[in-house]
Amino acid sequence: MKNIWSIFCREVSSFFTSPLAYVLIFIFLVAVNALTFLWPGRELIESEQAALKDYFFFYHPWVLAFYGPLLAMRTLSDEHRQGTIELISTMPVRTIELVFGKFLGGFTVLFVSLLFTLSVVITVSILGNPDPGPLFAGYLGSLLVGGTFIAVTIAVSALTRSQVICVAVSIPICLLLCLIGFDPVQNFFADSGVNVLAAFGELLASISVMPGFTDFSKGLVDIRYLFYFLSVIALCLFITNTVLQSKRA
Amino acid sequence: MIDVKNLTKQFGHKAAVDDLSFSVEKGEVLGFLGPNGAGKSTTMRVITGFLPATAGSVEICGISVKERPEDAKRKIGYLPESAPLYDDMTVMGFLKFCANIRGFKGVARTQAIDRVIETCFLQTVVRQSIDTLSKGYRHRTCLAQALLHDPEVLVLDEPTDGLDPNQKHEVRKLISDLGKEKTIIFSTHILEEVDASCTRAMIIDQGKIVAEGSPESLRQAGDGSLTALFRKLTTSEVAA
Repeated sequence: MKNIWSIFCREVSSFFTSPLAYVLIFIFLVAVNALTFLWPGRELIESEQAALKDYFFFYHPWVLAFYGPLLAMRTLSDEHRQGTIELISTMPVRTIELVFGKFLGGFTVLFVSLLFTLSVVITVSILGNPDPGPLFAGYLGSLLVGGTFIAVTIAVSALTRSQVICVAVSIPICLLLCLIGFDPVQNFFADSGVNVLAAFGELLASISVMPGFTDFSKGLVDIRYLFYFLSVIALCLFITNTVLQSKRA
Repeated sequence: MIDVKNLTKQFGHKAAVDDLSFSVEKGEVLGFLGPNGAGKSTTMRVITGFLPATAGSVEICGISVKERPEDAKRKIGYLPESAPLYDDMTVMGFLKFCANIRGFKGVARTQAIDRVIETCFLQTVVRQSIDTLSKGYRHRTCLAQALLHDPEVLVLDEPTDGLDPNQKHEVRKLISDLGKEKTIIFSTHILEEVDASCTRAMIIDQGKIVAEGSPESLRQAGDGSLTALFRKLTTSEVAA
């Protein structure tokens, strides 16, 4: 536990000492706010609704599919590139402690970034009266989706010492995890009239982050979806642990 | 203190280390000599638990590196070949991080850090960011982390690489001093270092020991010259 804490602290402080961190957070906030307030036909203010599901949380998985990989791209790639993986691996630290500490570091930065988006919530609260249930559940969903994308990126970063390759592989994976559960794609399979395609669509939906996130943003915290997110994160961290250990064999 | 038995490490079909056996006792400084690609760094990486052995065993102070890796790693201070460091940290921040990982707290942590800063002459750069350090300071910062927990065993992979003559002298002197109370194994391809710091030396080539003994006995075997013996026993990469 002590080792996880030390690695976590290093990870967070390393992130915030880099100017890249502030640029990333700034771009994330611009993206979230621009999509929420300016997307043609879906402008939050003109909708005159205090429900954030369709105007604010709607965009979160898509933005996080870029933001998660950009946040976590250097996690292990940098350790390999700088050779510090040799240093940390010869200290009394278990590989899983290293992986978990790094994940928690990335997750905390995500948490802080999402806190900044509260400006949107405050704006809506001044103009209307948003329901706190879906609000909390929506943020929980965003954290879980973001955490899943960070875990996916960490697993990819264990395989390469190049941050560019890590991002180039992770972003499409994360986008795919959104896309296969996205309503238009799901409707295509459901409306195809072919049983096999419909079943395939259901299979894709069960892999995607979207059904769970949509429920969360409506205020429905389904324990099965909670289990889904946590198990995908655990699986990715387990893969990372295995990759790191087998790389040395 | 370091007990290596029939150690083999293969990468694919190529054996980087081939059935190597040796031991180093407390108070000994073993110089590990060999041409580039002889298997020096690989042996050290297996000893420190970074790479798993394909066959054979390594024990540190009676603790198996394979069976109890965390316990064995607590006994070892390791300076990897390229002295890797976290470039985004300051020297002090890095040493604090390493001290935390090594289980130091409060006053004990401050004392341990102060001790290695003094030993490795880092006083002038403690607040400096690591990415602005010269190669010599980088090396000494990495050496400092290896000494933080006052380990019984030191494994140093080319500790004088990239240092200027004054710094080389200081590091060799440090190794000699530390060697009186610790078990040290260090690799080099600078033959003069054997005389300067080692109580015993070993020449390896293609993963096998080709000569072993005190610096004097090795020199005698090479008709008065370590270089002659080294050239006679090892195959150069150029020739290969």
